[in-house]
Amino acid sequence: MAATVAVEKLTRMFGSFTAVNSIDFSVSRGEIFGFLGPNGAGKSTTIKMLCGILVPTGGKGQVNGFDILSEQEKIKSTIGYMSQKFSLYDDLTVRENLRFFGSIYGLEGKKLSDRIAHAMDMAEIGNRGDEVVKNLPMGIKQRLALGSAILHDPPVLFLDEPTSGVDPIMRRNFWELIYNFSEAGKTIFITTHYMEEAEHCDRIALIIAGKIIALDTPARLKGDLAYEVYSFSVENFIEMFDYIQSLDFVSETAIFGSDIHVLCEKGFPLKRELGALMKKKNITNYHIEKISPTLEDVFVTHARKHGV
Amino acid sequence: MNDTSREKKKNGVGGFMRKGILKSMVVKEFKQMFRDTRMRIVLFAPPILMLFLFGYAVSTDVTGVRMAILDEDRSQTSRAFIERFTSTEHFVPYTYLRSPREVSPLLDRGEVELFLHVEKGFSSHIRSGKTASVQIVVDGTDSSRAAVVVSYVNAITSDFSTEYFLQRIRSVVISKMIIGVRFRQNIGLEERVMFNPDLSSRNFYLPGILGLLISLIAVTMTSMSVVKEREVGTMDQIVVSPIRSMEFIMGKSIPYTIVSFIDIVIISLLTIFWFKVPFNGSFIFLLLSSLVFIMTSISVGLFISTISRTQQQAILSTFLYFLPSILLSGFIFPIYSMPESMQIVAYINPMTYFISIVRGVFLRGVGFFFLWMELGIMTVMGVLLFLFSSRRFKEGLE
Repeated sequence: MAATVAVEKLTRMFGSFTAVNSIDFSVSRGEIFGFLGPNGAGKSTTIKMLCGILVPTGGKGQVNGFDILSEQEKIKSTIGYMSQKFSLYDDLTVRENLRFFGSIYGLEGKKLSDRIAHAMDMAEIGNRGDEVVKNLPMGIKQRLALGSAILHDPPVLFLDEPTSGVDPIMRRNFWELIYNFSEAGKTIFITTHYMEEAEHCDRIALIIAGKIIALDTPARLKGDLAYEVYSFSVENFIEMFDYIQSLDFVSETAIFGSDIHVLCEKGFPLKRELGALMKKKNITNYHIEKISPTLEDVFVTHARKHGV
Repeated sequence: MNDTSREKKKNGVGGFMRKGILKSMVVKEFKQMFRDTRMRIVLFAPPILMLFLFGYAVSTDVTGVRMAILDEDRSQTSRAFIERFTSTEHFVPYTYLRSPREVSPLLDRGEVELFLHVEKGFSSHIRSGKTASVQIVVDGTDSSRAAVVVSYVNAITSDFSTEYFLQRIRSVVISKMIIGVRFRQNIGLEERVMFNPDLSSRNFYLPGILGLLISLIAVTMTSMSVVKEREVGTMDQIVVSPIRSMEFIMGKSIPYTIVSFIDIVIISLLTIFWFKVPFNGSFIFLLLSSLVFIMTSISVGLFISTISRTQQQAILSTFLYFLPSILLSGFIFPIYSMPESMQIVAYINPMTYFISIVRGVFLRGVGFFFLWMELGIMTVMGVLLFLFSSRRFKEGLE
């Protein structure tokens, strides 16, 4: 079956700067596809090209079967889009906002009222439909923005860092909605720089400096990691971090909260070696254990490899 | 087939608009415009406020010039001469001095603007036919006002001497029966001012306010409302929606055109009925020209929105446009007295044409027959500006 979104050698240059460098991927129907990368890696540029608002300088692609180079207007009417920026009119009421956004997608009459009711239901607006959006709590606004993006019932939903600036509980609620869409057969394309958010995706593309450096399910990405990961906790961990980083059998180090993640070659007896060193330094109050790698470990390893 | 027609739509500025979408754009824009009280006030209060400011406070008419008087002659003739000044509304006696030395501090402090010094022997010189001297000192801080004061003084003086000589001539003619004797001063030049017979500065400025206000409202409102969408982020949502840029542009332009138009009607009516500025021309022609001028102003606003990221930048750019467009339009300073390079700028300034149309319609009572060229030039400019701005706007969306 044809992919909902597919690109080949997609490239975008800004002057001599390559924002997106010949990337390939395809997303199938109902999939939640995550785009994970640091700021400026090319996530938003990619999404803009897929939404038909930025013309690629190279390569090709299609969304919902429409060419991203020549059929932008058709793409626009068959996708939903929600950005990191808040995108409803603050000074209009909930209903006025939905009416406006619905109508610019060509909805009218009964169809429009039905969809508005549906979106308000989803956002759990209750009886606040005639309130000015400005006065609503952030969580509801977020859901409302999502509701507004799917008024015209698009088969694909592009979410550009939709949960930045939202607290964890709201983020969880938000993801429940996204799962519902996916179950209803909608394709979700989401960019994020939150690792735990990326874990929710069916597949993730790691993008760094405009290039996709890894693309797989979260489980397989973690499984493919060439290193073993240990969590090391010690009293003054910031000093120890520098020390551990300097050891030649340690491949990677990263700070997670007050723990240090230490990566080393598979099979290396890190626990014993590090224990010996600690003994030499007269440090007894420490804890070390082998853990299964997180996406962040995967990401950090890949990022270091690509010189970021 | 589809591809080529879409290509046209994409490139051509005039890409066709869908009525339903345009309508919801306009409705949305109006709702936002009238949502909060502050905005409602901003739309209609400043125009009226400005009109009243210009109507009452701003006047370049020279009246009430405070004068210090020193009459060393103390004769009936000298008193009659001084009377000539103080009996007009232009001059008010402020103080009578005893010595010319007393005037300096008064002028320095700005307490008086004019010093009139009638020297001793004024009446005897006149009687004996010699030149009588009167000295005046004028505060030249405001050069144009000073020039007007000097011209008034000259007029009064020459009036006075003409009358005096006329009396003498008459007596000479009667007694000696000499015919054909002419005195230099007895040729009276009578001036008649057409179109603004009172030479009232209010009549001159108030119609011009129309241009000032429309430009201010249309340019600011348009640029601000577009930039606001960009600033808040709603623009992102608009851009990914199938709404076409022409639909968006027109959706923004139509409401602001309507509001500016209402403002024009209010201001014109107030100017005519409240301030009693003579209105001699065609109201329809005035409204038509206003519509064209609103279009050019909205295009300028649109252009400003393409070069401004924030609302502050938009306000700043508006002022950068607004001041020169007022100063170089003939609204205050006549264009012919500008240096040539500035005159060129004045002639590519749409405001210039609108001001001259408005003044023509109000004061001279002329219409299309005399002002078609101004209207034509303004229309061409408006269309070009609109095409240019909407193209820029479109490109900016990418």
